[in-house]
Amino acid sequence: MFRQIFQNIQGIELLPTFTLLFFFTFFIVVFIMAYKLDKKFINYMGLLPLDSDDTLNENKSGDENVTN
Amino acid sequence: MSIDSSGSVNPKDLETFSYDNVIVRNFAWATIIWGIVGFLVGLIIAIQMFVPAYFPFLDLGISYISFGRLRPLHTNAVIFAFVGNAIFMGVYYSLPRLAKAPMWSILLSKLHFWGWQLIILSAAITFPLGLTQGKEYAELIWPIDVAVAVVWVIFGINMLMTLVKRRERHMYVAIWFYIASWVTVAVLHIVNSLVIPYSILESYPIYTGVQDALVQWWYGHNAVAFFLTTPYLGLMYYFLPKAANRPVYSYRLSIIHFWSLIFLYIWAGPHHLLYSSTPDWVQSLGTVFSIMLIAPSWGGMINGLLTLRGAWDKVREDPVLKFMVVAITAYGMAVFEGPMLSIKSFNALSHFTDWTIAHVHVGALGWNGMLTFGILYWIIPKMWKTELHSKKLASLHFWIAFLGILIYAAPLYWAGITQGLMWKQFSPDGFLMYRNFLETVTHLVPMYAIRALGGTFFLTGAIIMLYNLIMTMKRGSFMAEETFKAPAMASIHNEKVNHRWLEGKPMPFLIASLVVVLVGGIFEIVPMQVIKSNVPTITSVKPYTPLELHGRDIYIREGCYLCHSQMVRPFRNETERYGEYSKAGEFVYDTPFQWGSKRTGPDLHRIGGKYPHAWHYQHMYDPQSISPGSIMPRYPWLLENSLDTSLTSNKIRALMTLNFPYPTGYDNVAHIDVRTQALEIVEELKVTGIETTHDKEIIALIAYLQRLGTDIKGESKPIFNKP
Repeated sequence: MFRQIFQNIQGIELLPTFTLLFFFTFFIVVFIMAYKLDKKFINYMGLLPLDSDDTLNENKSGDENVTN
Repeated sequence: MSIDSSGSVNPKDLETFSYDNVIVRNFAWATIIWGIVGFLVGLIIAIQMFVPAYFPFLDLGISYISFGRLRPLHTNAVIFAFVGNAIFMGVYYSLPRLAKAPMWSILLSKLHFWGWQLIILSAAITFPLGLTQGKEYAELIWPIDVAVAVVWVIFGINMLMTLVKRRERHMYVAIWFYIASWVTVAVLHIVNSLVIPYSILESYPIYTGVQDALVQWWYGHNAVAFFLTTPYLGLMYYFLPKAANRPVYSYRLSIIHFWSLIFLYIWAGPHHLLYSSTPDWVQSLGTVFSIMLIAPSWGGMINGLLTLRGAWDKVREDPVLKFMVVAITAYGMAVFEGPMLSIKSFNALSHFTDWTIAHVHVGALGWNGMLTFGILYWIIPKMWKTELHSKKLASLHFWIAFLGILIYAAPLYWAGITQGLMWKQFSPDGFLMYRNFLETVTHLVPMYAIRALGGTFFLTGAIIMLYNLIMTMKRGSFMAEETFKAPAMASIHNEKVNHRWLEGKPMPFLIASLVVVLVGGIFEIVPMQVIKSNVPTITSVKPYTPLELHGRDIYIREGCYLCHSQMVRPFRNETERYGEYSKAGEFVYDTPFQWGSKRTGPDLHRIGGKYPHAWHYQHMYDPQSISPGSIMPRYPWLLENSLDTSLTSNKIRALMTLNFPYPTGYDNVAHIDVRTQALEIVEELKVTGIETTHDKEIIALIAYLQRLGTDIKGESKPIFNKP
């Protein structure tokens, strides 16, 4: 079924070119999304691995691992 | 949950839970053991490359340990056993800690671990037996492929359910890489492993010729991308900040790095097929996207290296960071070199030579090897609550492995460039300077010997690490569980749909990653499968006779494609050396395709009819007797083994389901043609004084080799016995 659908699309070979344009748009969107993230959130995310495996014994209250 | 004005959580709202270190320990052991096995098999096959030249008496002619059968064992052991287990070790350690939740199911973790080890063990048994699908890095036979899919799904369920049950709202960048790797590997594995089984262990791919080549290298390239690279980037984003005790340089950059990388990677597969019979538009696509890949790849490398800003003094002291810095640097080098090799003019020189092998090993030994070692030196003392037994030994390992990589790669770059140039060299009179392919090989043998020395260094380093880690384990006491406290994840309503939202949603994230990788896959592969103009038909090209088919299966079993290509590129030096360049339409009945990726020996696409049967008979028995100085192994068992014809009908039936134009009912009478054609070859051998019987494997192989590339000449037309 898919074979017939694709065969009936004229100029299907051009699709990769459209995909290149799609990537370009996609890249710009990702770039804007990343740029617009607030600094507090970025810092919080960057620190995630560093506070992620303090064990109960080392971490007396557990409060240090909690961020809003 | 109550939160006070300072943002702290009331201690009574904290939930207590434990991380399972047992599964991490098991995967750590597996990666160490299988790593050493993989390196050792690599060393053995590296030695086999120069044994026929220097120590011919050491070629014992044993089928189970011949180069063609051990090479898939080496590549699969390193990729799926060493690197695979290291990925799982890192994921099972970092994922629960980043999600602040234990792995969802210990039972699934155990099934994953033992299932994966059984798969590796099956590979270690089946490859020496010659059971292979004949596609690089996808050699596992279909029942094992099914097992891989099942175990992979188990891993995925456990990972995603852990994320569903997590306490940390936002998924750290490492987790995105894990999710994207999981979903992409699942797609790649399933699409490339679609086969028609003709026995309980054997099968033919559903794709043929050009289509098979494209699917295979879409898979092969992305196995490098989504098995050797993206999961390791996830590990880098977790373990490098841990080891350096500082956050990643730019979290924003990591977002751009992630999405651009997974989008672009999936397209780059066709750069393995430049100047081949694939359509030009596919090749250009591979080149363009490969060059674009430099940007996100280097973004990731820079992000890794800059994480160490202000901490370079630590690198001098800490062996863990030393390993990691070299790993990231090797990654940067390999991902720069890859796109360069995707430029057609570079590729014309480098392809089919040892340059590719050198490139791959900078990635495998440098990036995967060194990062794994760094993580092991960090994770084992951590889980055993102690210090590393000996920093000096770890440093020794670092230097010996580092030197090993240099001693490995440098001679192979030399060999690759030398051979590439020699193939292309014409004399002032316009003839090939090195007409005999063997002349270009004998030059390289000393390089192969030095390369084995580099491999020995690397293996020795791994053994030193084994000792050091065992002593570390003895020194400390293993924490099977680590207890931790965190509040439950609070639900947030009316959140804006942006990247921050996406980072909190595992399933939408998985779907978004899948869509991004599928875009490339679909628009690259679908037109190739459906547009007839991509593979112009050649009417004189016919399916193989049943005897040739048996011979072809022997060719695949012995891994001939690992040293011989079947793709004459449209260069003057190649058409002078081999004959007419290869056309897409010539491969329509080749499943799996056998174009190869390396020419340790000459191309074989036009070998048919070039030499008499007796030449092949003697050459397979003892290549050195025909071509003094050849480094091809001996295949004496082919002259002894009887051809198994019990599956002739099944094979033909399987191919008929792929619309191969055999006459209706031919599967029932194909065995008659096997005998008839074999007797003709035996008769011809008899004339030259060789006495053998029609039922030997060598006869089938000769039939296949003599057919190769001859259809286009329109000389020999197979006549199929009418049922």
